[in-house]
Amino acid sequence: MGVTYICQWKQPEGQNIQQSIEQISSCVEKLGAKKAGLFQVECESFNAPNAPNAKTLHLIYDSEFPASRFALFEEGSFLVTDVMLSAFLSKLRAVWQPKKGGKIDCKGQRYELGDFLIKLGVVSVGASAKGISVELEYAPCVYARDCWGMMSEMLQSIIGEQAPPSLPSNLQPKGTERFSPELTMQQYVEMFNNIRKTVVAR
Amino acid sequence: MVEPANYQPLSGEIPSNVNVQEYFLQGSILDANADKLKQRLQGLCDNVPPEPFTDHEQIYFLKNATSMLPIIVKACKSLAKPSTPWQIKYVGATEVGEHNKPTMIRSCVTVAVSNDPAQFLDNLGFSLQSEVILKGYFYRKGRLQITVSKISVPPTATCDTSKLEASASSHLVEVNTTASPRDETAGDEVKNFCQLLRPAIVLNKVDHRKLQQWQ
Repeated sequence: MGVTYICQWKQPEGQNIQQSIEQISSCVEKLGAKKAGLFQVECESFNAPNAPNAKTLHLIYDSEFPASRFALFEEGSFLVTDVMLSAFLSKLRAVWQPKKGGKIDCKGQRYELGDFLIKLGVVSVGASAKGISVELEYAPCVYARDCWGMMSEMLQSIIGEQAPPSLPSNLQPKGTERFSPELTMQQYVEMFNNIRKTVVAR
Repeated sequence: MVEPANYQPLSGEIPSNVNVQEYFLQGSILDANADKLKQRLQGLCDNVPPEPFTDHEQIYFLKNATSMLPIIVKACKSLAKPSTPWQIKYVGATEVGEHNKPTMIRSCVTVAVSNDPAQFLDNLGFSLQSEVILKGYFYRKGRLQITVSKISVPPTATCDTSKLEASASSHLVEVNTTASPRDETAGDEVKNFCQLLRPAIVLNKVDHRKLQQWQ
């Protein structure tokens, strides 16, 4: 597991999701990336209707970590657990309930290009597609600051102008901490929240 | 390698026959007689030497608006093997059941977690109720697991296990197995094993509600 950057691809006017995916994947394939299976990230949100101060809980499944589940409180604690977490949460259903429409997922093609891992996914709520995600992972390094130069260059060639100009703050752990799956999951939750918001705004 | 009795394989999907029902019987034995029981257990468990364990258990309660009973979760950490992960265990209400039921039953979901779950449980609304240290020996026979342990109160936050203060002059003995709720034979298996321990110790169903009334 190395440093991972996730962003939402903003579709140009007049292009639908299918066309955008084709455009990015042809661009990735031109760089020499090889298809390496499919990937899936699922996020289910829970809230406690009777506890007004309770934060939202996100339960994340990522096919890159098949034996793990990630539990993330919004602006709160983070925990990596085994697969029994959903059975555990179902036991707390008297207090913690799944949010209505709180299930969102991201599925798509996974590419390998040397030390890089590129994932292009369609984000959907239920059956309807809502947006496109682009994930780039640089596997050999666990310090974002040290490999950002290379990642930034790779992002430029995949998503062009939409690449961030400098190291995003959410990739920088406090102090000199190593990059961890926690930061990957936070980025996913952030992206899912943004996609939900823009869908509502439309 | 023999899998532990409560082994739950790690895989992408929750196995459909997930073991969430715990069948168990409890009892206690005076310290003076504990060694005899240990010898008997070792003999019954195919002469495999017992595994010593020291577990720190924190018991958390979550108030439940729909029921008088709180939701109980235990956070456990092995002090003997610090590299093993923390576990959080949901423990359901104990059903003593009718006379024809051989053991007590409760639902039980164990989740291995990466680090101290205290903050996570706090975010979920749980509050710490009590904590104990269980020190003793662990035996297994097929899917049954048997613990003989001494309960003590943690002395300070440092959990120095050499200075534990035992809270009673007896050992807690528990025979249990986790199986699927449809498994009819699990209870009988526990009951039959407990019969073999007589007369050193008599393990019976204990109505926890009555115990709480006496307090």
